[in-house]
Amino acid sequence: MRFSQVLRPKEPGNARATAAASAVLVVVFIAGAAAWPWSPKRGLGLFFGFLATALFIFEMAYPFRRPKARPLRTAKAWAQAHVYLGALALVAVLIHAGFRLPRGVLGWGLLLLSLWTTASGLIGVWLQKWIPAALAEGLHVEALYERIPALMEQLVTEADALMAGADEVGERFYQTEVRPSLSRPNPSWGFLLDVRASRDRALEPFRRIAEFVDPVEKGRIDDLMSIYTEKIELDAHYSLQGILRRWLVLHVPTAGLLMGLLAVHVFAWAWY
Amino acid sequence: MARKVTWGTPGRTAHYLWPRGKWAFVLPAGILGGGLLVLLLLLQVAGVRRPLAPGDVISRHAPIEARCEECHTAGRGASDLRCQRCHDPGGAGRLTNGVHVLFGSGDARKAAAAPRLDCARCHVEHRGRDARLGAVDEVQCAQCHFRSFSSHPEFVVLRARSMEAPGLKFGHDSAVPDKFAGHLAEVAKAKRIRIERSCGECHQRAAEQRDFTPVAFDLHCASCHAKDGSLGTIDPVPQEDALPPEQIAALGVRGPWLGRADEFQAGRGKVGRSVVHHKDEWVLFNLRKLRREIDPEGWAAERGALLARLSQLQRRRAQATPLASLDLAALRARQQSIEAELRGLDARIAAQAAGAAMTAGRSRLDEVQAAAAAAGDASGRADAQQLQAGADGLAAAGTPAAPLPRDEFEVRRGELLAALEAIEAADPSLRPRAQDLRRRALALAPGESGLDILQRARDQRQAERQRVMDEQALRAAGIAPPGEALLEPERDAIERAIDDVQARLASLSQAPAPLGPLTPAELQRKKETVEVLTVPCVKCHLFTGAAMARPAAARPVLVRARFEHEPHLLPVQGDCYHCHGAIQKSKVSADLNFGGVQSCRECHKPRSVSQDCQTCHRYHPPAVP
Repeated sequence: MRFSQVLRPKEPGNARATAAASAVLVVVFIAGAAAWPWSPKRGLGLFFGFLATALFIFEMAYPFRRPKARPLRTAKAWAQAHVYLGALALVAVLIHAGFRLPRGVLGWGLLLLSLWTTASGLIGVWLQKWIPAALAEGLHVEALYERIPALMEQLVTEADALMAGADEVGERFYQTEVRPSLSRPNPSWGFLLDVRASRDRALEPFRRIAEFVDPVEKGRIDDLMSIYTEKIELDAHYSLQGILRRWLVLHVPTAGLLMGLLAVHVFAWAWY
Repeated sequence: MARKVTWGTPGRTAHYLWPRGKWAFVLPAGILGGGLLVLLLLLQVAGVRRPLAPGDVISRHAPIEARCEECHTAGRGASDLRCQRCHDPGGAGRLTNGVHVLFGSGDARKAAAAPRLDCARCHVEHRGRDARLGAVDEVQCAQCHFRSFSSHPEFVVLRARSMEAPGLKFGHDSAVPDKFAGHLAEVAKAKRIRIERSCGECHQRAAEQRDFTPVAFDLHCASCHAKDGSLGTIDPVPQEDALPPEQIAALGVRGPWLGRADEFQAGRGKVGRSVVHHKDEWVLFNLRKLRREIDPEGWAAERGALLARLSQLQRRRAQATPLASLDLAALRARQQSIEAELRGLDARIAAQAAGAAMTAGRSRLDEVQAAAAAAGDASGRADAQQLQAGADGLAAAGTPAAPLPRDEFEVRRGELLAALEAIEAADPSLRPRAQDLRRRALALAPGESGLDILQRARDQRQAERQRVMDEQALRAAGIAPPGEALLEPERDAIERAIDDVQARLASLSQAPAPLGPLTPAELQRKKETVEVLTVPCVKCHLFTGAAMARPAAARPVLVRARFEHEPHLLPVQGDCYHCHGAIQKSKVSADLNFGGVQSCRECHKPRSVSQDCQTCHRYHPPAVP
């Protein structure tokens, strides 16, 4: 999958609508700021504050897409709304502030958390489009993240059985160079950009040793290489699916903090 | 056989894999956010309020930063009342939008209809310690005014020629062939400088100010106009008209003339002067006396106007006492007093609205008429008759369809002030009432009805009551009065204005009361005496009868804007003619001699010198307009 394909929206209509809505909001801001002194506390500035708050609250309702996906009917519709309205919420925040940098701790906190949450969400969108496609296109093996350790254990068992009758060279090669890395997951960020990253280099010792052994042992080494290849693919799965799950740690807790600060912000506005 | 390459899932799982719960991340995130909320609210309760503030306040407000209530009212944001606690502590209302409109337009009705504008609308706080609170977004001004300097209308003084004459006969080029080359040329000749440089001989820059010092006779004129200390002589005039020094002293009026007996020539019932000084007290005293005799109405009107102004200033000074300096009992008493006033105003408004306006006015007019008639003298009876005739005319004419022209309005106001003067003289017990009426007469605007004034007064009282109640609420909440009220400069300006008015009143009141109405012959003789007395003065000063116009030479003419010469001198490198080109041909002092707004646009343009409204204008009027 090419990078440009990842950037291509799944629902171009939604992307276009969001871009158009953002443009309209910015035009409203420009016209409003030219006509009246812009203030987050009054008029249009306040309206954009309310809009951003409403959108953030909707964003936090995302877990309610399951099990029945009401009122948006499908989980896909929820996901689309979550992504595009989240982006629109950031635009509303920036307009609410009049595209000016905040002065206080609370203001900076709100702005940075808004930026971080939106950015981490958009990174998540990219990951969810990029990783499954990369895994499907570049690897033979398919595995659920939770099953990978068990599958690796199966590979170790299979390799042990395979190398039980091997000669001394093969046995030493297996025990010192192959088995230690075969027995545990070996995650790597390199898989994010290329799921077949460093595969040739990892298999090179197998090819080298195969040149020095007799034909019977060579078949055994080829089978071991096949097992090791499967292990590398499981490593890629383990790495990428792990990223796919863990990016939420960057996104959801900050969203929670954002909502907390937002509540304080609304209280401060209403009280003072 | 070679190992088979795995495609797809390697094998089936031995057990069911449960998907992640939908609250797996959301619940901890919610706890995190809720915890933060609770923490910040606890900090708020504990008095640590900086995290909640949208930014630091300016350094002058830093001492009260942690006490939000000093400026904010719960549920209503930053409150004007709290701003006024320090910035308008007497509740004079000088900082309101209505007063801004009144200052700009002079139209009380427009001012009363002006929308309310919160202080915080223009003065945005919490923008950092070094922020300029006075820097207002230009868009705010454009809400009511034009949008850019390119649309700035011509200055009012140039557009309408409305500038009050400076009271002097003066022309920069008042040349008389073969006798006088004009002020500019004569100064250049005397100082042996180029004519372009002669301006600086009179318009001198003060070291500590950003503009020129006012032109003064002793500094700038005396060297030519009073070479030997005298402006000229006064031919003998009848002593009945111009009192000699000893008679003036017998009236209890002292002056520098008492030690200058050699300057007077008295004899044959006449008195003359061989030497006349600038601001000669003897001449001025006798002119005031003659004026009172020749034009008693004009004298009374001027005195009435001064008394009204004094009364207005004294009320302003009383208002300049910070409410914060009062204790709770005094605040309650003040509230009760304001509420009593409000009840009275409401009753009068209701009466006027019910159509009783004319009757109420007539009954008050009757009171005034009775008081004037009770004076017992001919003047009082004449005033009473005049009032009766006026009241009858008013009843016959009904309500006027259109407001009076400004000039006629001023004449009527003068008559009213003169009548009040007569009433007060007849019955001193009416003085407080007369003072109140004078103040109101001064506040009147052409076309404004009594109802408008009453409603305006009610609005002012309501605002005062609100302030007093807010002050009491703050005390009840344990918030101490502010340590510093920013009143001193205002109070000083008011005091200076009061001193000025009192000095003018004192000099006006020195004139003894006339013994009775003048015969035509006496009137003519006194007018001739005035002409003789003013011979040394009329070279430069303007007179209306015996009344000399107050000179205001080289004073700022832009009443709604501030102009300082200093920053403008550098770009033109001292070439005054760059802006004042017409001055070389100026013959009279009323000439404005500057190019108007177009000349400002030469430098005040985009990407050049600032075009901000605040460069020249101030929103809030001065303490003493």
